[in-house]
Amino acid sequence: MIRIKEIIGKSSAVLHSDGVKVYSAIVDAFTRSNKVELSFDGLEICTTSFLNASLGKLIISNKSLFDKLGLVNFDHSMINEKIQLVTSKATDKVRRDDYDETLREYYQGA
Amino acid sequence: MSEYQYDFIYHLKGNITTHPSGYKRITDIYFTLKDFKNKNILIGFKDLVWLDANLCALLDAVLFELTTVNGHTFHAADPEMIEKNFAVLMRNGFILDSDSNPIMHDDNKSCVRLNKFAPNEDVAFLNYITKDLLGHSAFSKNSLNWQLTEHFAELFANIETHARTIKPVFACGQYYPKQNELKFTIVDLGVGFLEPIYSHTKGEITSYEEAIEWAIKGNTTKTSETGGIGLKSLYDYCSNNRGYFNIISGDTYWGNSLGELGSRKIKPFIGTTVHLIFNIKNIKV
Repeated sequence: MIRIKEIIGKSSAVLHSDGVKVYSAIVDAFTRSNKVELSFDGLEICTTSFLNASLGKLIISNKSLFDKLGLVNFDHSMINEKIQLVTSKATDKVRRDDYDETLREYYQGA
Repeated sequence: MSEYQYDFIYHLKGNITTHPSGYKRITDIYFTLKDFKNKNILIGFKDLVWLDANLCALLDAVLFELTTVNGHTFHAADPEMIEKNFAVLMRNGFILDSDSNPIMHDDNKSCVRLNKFAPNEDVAFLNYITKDLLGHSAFSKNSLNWQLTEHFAELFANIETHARTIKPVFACGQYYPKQNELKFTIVDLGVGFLEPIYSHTKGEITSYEEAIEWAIKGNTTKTSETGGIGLKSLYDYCSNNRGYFNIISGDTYWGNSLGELGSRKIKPFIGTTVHLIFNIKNIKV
């Protein structure tokens, strides 16, 4: 289990740079195990910048890893809302990028 | 020191309020002095009628730039007159004693003390927001404050992400109980809105006005991530609570306090300034 509070050393997950640290920790954890959980316990605040740099980046760079990642201990309703918002936007972006790629391949083959 | 021992005397004049005209009066200090180096400058207050104290954030940012880049030193003229007419400047931390403490105690409890933070000092900034701003008597103690803290965290995170600077972030607020308003100003000395957005959109966005509106809608310059939701949240919060939200970047002063939502052209200063004007009476969850 990766505890965000331990990775960044704070109870507020605010900065983009802290999000990048967590992203790196997640990717690193998956090199050692096929099952990884990300814990939000102890966090008082979580910004979209932080989530974009951690979860959003993970979805866009490696969605299969995100699909295997367990998100736990985010009882704070606002954190839950932001996670939903960020992951939804990132998933949409991946779909759009996939669609654009499919179109490109189609026209190149046509 | 007498006036004759200064290289330059700059007189603040008239009414300096949280409005494009007030922004101009303060940034004019920068434009007047930016082409000189290492001058000893006296700031005069005898012609000043009014200063919105939250604008000390912008004033301090201007003086910081002129001090660190141009090597100027600044002194305030006539301390007795300032104490009589503009005592708030001695209470809110703008004018300090030799030990870098406010000269006067904030007995009225109307100030949100002037402070500055490095762009990565999120913990210190949030402590300031929680204790100095939301801990202010103007805000009742309720669950609403948590939501506001989140919005300020988003704003600060935006600065770290987009401003591309290590220069401090300046913040200051002032409560006006008769108007049921608390005005809060945050200033960064970064690159402003246009440069990163112009680059990301490959030249599609070419003006500061377009860049601000693009950012407010929740767009992002990050190609490998999602982003940009935070600024919109803060704008929506202010609007929904009958408050005002202004962003000033480059040549554009943008916001919902200019009659209808709109923008004004201004002489461009460095970085970005955000004014949040909370309507204390109407704050609701």
